[in-house]
Amino acid sequence: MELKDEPNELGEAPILRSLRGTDPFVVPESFFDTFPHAVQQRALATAAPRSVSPWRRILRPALAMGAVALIAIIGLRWPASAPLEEPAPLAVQDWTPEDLVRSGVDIRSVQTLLGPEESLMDVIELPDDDHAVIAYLENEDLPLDLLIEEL
Amino acid sequence: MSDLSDNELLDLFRKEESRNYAFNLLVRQYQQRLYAFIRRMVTDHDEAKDVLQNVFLKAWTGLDGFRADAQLYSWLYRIAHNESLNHLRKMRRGLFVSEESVMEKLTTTLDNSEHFSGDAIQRKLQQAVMRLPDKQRAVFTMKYFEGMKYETMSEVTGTSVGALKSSYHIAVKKIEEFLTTDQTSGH
Repeated sequence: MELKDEPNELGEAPILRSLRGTDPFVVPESFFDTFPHAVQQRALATAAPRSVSPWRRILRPALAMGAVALIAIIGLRWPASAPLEEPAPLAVQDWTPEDLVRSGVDIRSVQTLLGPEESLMDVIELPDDDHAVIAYLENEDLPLDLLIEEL
Repeated sequence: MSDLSDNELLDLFRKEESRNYAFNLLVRQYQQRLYAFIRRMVTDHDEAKDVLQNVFLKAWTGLDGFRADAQLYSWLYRIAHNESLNHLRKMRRGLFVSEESVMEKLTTTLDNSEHFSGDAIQRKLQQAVMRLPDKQRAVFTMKYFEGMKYETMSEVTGTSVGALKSSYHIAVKKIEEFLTTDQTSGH
């Protein structure tokens, strides 16, 4: 459908064409003289807008967004109630059987204290024969000199 | 009416000391044109006055954010257009009635109004305009009564020029048909 611009738009509407330009609406007398004052009074009665400088118009939302982002980050990283400071882990020295022997600890006593589940080292049933003991220790590659000293 | 340009008016409005003066000039400059449009949309003078007042109150609060690259007249007209449509929508919602009932109310208002001087054919024309859907009525009013350009109408309504031309064409056809039928039937 091809629409023609004015004046041909009313080409097929003779009645409308003949009525054009008339205004039957009557405006009460002096309405336009008093209206500006009335509307101004209402405008002033409502919260008068303060002129906002352009930089504030940009800065305000930017600051608000920054504050929201900051709160969100703090909320995520900072738990609701800060836990008590965890005690520093005890420095546990990793003792080897050799260390225990060197320090003069009775391995059998330690084993008894720990119980059978906590195996410190294999319980060794030493034979009564000294030669056999020495042979065993040599075989186990234990610090013989220290043991001899202890014995 | 003042001889100030839109930009001069806006400059005055942005200064605290001349804000009220500038607003007064602005109202005086645009009140008649905006009133004419609103009056044709809502028919009744008192309702038109209320809508017009709302238009200028919105302008008062919104002028600070007005972009100088747009036309002040188009901007004000857009507010008037939206306010008129809102008013008709509210009226319909308030009455809980159909389109026909609203049209009837508007016709009665027109018949009883002391502020309508038109003859029988003018009255029929107004009735025909009131039968149009709200948006189409706005398009017809802007084009037929105000002689507005389609480009300006497009800025005001946010509708494409093609759609506006089509809408106006349909409105003209409907109204002419209504007027012809009414005249030949002797009403």
